[in-house]
Amino acid sequence: MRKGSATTMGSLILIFLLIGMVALYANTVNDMIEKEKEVSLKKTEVLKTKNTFYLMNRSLEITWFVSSIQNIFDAGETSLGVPYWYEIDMHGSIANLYRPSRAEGREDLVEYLNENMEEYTDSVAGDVTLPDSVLISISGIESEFGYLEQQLGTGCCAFSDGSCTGIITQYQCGLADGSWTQGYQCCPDGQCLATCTSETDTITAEISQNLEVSYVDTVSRAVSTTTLGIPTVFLDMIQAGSVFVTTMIIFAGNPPSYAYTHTNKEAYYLAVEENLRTIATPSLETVSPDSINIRELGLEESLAFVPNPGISEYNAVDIVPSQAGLVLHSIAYCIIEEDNEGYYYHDEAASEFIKQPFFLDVKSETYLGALDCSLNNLNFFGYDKPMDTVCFNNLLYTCGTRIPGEELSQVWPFENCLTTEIECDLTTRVFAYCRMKLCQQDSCSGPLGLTYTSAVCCDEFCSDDRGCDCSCTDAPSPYTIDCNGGDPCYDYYCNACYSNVPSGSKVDSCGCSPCSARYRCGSQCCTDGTCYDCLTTTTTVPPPVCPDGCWVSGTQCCCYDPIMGEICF
Amino acid sequence: MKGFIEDITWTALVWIVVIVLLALVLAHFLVISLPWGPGSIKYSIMFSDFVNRPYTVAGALTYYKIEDRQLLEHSLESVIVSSIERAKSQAVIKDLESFMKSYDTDYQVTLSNSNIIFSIGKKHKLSTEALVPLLYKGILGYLKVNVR
Repeated sequence: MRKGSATTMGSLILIFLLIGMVALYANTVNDMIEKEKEVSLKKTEVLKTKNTFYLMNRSLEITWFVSSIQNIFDAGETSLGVPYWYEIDMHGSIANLYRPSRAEGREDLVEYLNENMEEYTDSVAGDVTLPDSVLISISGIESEFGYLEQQLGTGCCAFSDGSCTGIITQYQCGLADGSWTQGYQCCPDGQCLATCTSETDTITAEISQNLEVSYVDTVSRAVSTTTLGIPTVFLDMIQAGSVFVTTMIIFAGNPPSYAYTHTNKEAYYLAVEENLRTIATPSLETVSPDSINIRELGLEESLAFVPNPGISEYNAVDIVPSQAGLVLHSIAYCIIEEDNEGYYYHDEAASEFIKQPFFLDVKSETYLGALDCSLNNLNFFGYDKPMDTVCFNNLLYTCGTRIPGEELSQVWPFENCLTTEIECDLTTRVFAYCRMKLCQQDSCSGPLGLTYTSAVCCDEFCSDDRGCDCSCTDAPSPYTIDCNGGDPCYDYYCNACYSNVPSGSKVDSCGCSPCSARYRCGSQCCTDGTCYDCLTTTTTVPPPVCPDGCWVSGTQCCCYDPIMGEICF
Repeated sequence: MKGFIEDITWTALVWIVVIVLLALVLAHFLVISLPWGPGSIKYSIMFSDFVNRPYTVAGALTYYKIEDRQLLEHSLESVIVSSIERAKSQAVIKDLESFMKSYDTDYQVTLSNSNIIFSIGKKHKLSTEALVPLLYKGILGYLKVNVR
């Protein structure tokens, strides 16, 4: 070996070692940097997943809040899923009677809310891929609604003046809206019950779901729960709804409330609605007047023609005993609302949100006999106008008037005065007695076989002793007989040409001033175009026909209402 | 003295290599230690903050109340009816602009379903985005928050 070769080798080895160490260092550091980058990216991935999970969870809380509010609105709008709380069908039978007590109402409301909530939860469940490739999966949604009634501080005493000699413990009490209230409870024996007062009831909701958010290789998964407490007085509204049903039972059991004695249908509808309000309003106003309001109370109504036994779509035996007359088909509605600002209601038809209180829409559908021709023979009524309808021989006839069900109607089939002494003037579309024809008769036999005294008969047809100079044969129509002095005799029966009856007036009820015996129209008096037989009819009040479950007490029906107790009407 | 020159050459060469390698290590160290260096911790934190910032803002917005409702309720109801007017949420735009100004940064907040319902601010090209999905009875919308 040459001299110095060991030094050279040593130097070379040293150089290689140094280079190797530096390379190792550089490699290690570079690896570290790469891993740092990977960690950063992973951290970003984790953060994105975690943040999206948080935001989705928060968003779902709002989704469940809005859904729960709409669910409660649904409950009120659909009357807890019972379309008509009181229903009398076309055969006169009670088809449905829903009049829940407070406890029943609470159970039914909670049941409805739990079932109806599925409409909201089912459509939310599933997978959603966001535009930034985050996958959200929602499954296993469960909802549970409850109802907490207002709690009162019974069992404890509160002394704001500190006069209690027992142990006074300051306490906090959670309210339905999540806030807290300070109070004192007096615990003389140290065992006093905790008490809580809140002004309203609360609908509680607990909605949980499996929420999974995944992004690249990171998954965030948990069962998250939303708990809600929504202040309400819904049970007060249900109680008012029950009272409304009670008033509808009273209304249906009181035929004079909807008896057809009117000169046109519009007047009838107004009168019926007014009668309903008269019955319902006082009762409804007594139910929680501080917490609820009656937003609307009214009727949607129509009259159905029952002209002839056996051909009507109605089993009229139960509704109109003679099977001829008019049937009132009415849908009564009462919208009760809470007395507060309310929440945002989604009006799907208008596609908008409207702030309004929770409300309950209670409806009742009834078919009631408005006119029974067996009790109103020869009485005229008005559908479109006075005197266009008449009951005759237990059937209902029209004189050119169109009533729903007209295809079944009995258009006046007789040869007017020749047969019945009643004529149908198709020009004016009204009925009238054949007065001119009667005047020409030698005897004073009246219309339809009724017997009149000569004086009355002559009075009826403008004889001279009443001061009329017209003759019957000169009269152009039953309505325009010229009288002494030129006054028109336009009243249907009692011509207004009497000296003591103001021109244009009608004669009041039978036997009452100014319908004296002298001035009766034959045997008839007039009230709003309807004639009553003064001489032959004795007014008797038939015993009332009471609804099912009620009993007759004198001239009244009495029913037991679970809320109002015994009610007679 | 035979071999003396060779000894000196190798020694010098070793020193040169050592100095060069030390210079390389120093340079490498300096590069990775600089605040803007690719491997710095600060870089990592800045990056995380940059990515996280819109979520922080969006998280705050989810609790922001405008008039009688929270922003998210306004947003969800607007998405349902595709209009802030029909959701009675006109106040959202003005209040939200005022809220976002407090962050003193470039931003854009957009509410959309299949259409854009409203959008405020201007998106910066170096911004990142947070999405708040809004769900209701099969309707899907987004509240999108872009922040630089």
